[in-house]
Amino acid sequence: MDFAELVRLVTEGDAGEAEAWTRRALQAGAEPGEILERGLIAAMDGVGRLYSAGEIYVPEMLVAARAMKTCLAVLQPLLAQGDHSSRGKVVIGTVKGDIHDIGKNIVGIMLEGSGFEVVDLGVDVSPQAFAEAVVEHRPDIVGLSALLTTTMPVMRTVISALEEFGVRETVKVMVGGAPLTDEYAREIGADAYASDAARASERAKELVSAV
Amino acid sequence: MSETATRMSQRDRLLAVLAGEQPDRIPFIDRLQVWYEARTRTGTLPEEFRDLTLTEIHRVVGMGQLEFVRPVGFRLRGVELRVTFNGEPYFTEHEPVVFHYPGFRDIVQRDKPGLTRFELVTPVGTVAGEEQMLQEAIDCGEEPYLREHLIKEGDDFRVAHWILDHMELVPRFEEFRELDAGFGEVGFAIAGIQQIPFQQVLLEYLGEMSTFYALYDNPKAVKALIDHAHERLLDTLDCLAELDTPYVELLDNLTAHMANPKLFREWCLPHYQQYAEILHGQGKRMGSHTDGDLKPLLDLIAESGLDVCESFSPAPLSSTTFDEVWDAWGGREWPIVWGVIPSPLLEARVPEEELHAFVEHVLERVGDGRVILGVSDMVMGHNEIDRVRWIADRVEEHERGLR
Repeated sequence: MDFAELVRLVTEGDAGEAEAWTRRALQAGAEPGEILERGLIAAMDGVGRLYSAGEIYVPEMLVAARAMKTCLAVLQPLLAQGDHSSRGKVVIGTVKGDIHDIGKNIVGIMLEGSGFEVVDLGVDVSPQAFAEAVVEHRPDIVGLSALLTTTMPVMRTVISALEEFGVRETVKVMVGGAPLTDEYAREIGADAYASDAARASERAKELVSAV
Repeated sequence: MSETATRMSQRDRLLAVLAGEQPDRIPFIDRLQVWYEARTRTGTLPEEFRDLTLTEIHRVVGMGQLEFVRPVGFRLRGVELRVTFNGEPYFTEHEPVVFHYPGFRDIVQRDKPGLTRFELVTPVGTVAGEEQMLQEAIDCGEEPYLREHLIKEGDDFRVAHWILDHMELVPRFEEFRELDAGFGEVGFAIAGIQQIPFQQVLLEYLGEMSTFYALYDNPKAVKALIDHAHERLLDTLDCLAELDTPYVELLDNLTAHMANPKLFREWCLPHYQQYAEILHGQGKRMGSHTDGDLKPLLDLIAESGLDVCESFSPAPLSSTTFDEVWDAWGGREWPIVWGVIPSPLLEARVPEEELHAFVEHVLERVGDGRVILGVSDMVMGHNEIDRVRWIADRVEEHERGLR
């Protein structure tokens, strides 16, 4: 099976051809898990590397992720029947008082593209709602987004809420958003900071593998 | 005559820089409006400012005042604008004149939290959008957030074209002049016009993610919309020939995160170059509101014809440092960078020494070079006004070798 072809199609964002390739591969007897790992996730890992190297940009990353998700929709019922598990689960949201969702959405797409299960709480999410979602979904990571200097302090409150709910030690906290810095992330007690979606995906992989 | 009396005003310093000349001091001019509104709404405006106008506060603090004023509006011929707020009728007008198009920031309910929904009903169809305002945003003096964009499906492009084809320009130059004159020597009204067409599509018509998908799925439709918006922008620029102002700014909210070098080269650069040629022919300088990350665009902006990058927002607001932008442009006559001091350095949580070190470094690097200092993107509600005052005093002390 020439997985390089699927990697190429996903990388170029050709959702239609990538889906057709996936269906043909399944008919030919390919394992869904193998298509996922060697085709889709391999493609998105490469896309992340190209993005980090400045060779492609957000639009190319998004259309690649869309092609990946199209193929994943074909595989998912079959993966659910087997013993294939996701790379990990991430709860994401934009913090209370902030309704900017572009960065958060792109991070969610990239995380899904990297094989994570993503629970998107949306925007204007209260600290309590984040904590309740961690209790309910038991994620490996909670990702907090804020675009505004006025709302980034809410991230600290979310971490306090996780402590109050007794789930801080069960989950890694990753933060991102235009005004944030690595230093600020450390200051508020977050476990990781990501400056963009590709790095968020990389940091998520590191956080999960470190557990 | 005392030394103070011989000093130039902030306005004159700004005008000198825009004229390609050297002022006696670096201009320090930006917006306190958001800070003022946030402090007023939350009852935390310092006592000393309570009976002062915003312009008077600027004068007392020592920072010049800038305000974006739209000198040209648009009459939407053949369009009925229907606006609801939280589901209740709020505003309806046939063939309205709006000053933010394709955005509708001038008619959005800003004083109460909720959803402002607007529909544009035309003979060829209806397009609609939605702006959201949170209480937190009101308290901070923030802008509403466009959460539903005008174009969501193929037919919406046709409606958008129709509106653009039928709209009429409505200059309000006299009002612009009166507002500008009202600032006296303290401030300056920026003639702000619509974004370049690509930014209109990216931020207003479709939104970022839909634009990126559309560029892949339906590039002809995107190009046609950009072409239509370009024609209207050319009309706006022609109209501005009658406006006596030295500076016009495209309110682009440019950031390389979205308008990356590839997209910028294809969709932005040719337009900037054409617009610059027109405005330079009118004796005006052209700027852009560039409050995002510029690092990947520095070389392209240098060849764009832009004279000013206003609201330059360095780290920690973006990945671009002041040194990087100064290394790229400091030795050039244009573009001038306006902004530079990131608002987080004015927050109480940040040690004052960090602000001091940053400003000292900027002043040392600038030397006798040309720059317009401000607080990027603006002075926020939670910023310390005494730090603004400190910057103003420090810049005032920065005598330059050229005098």
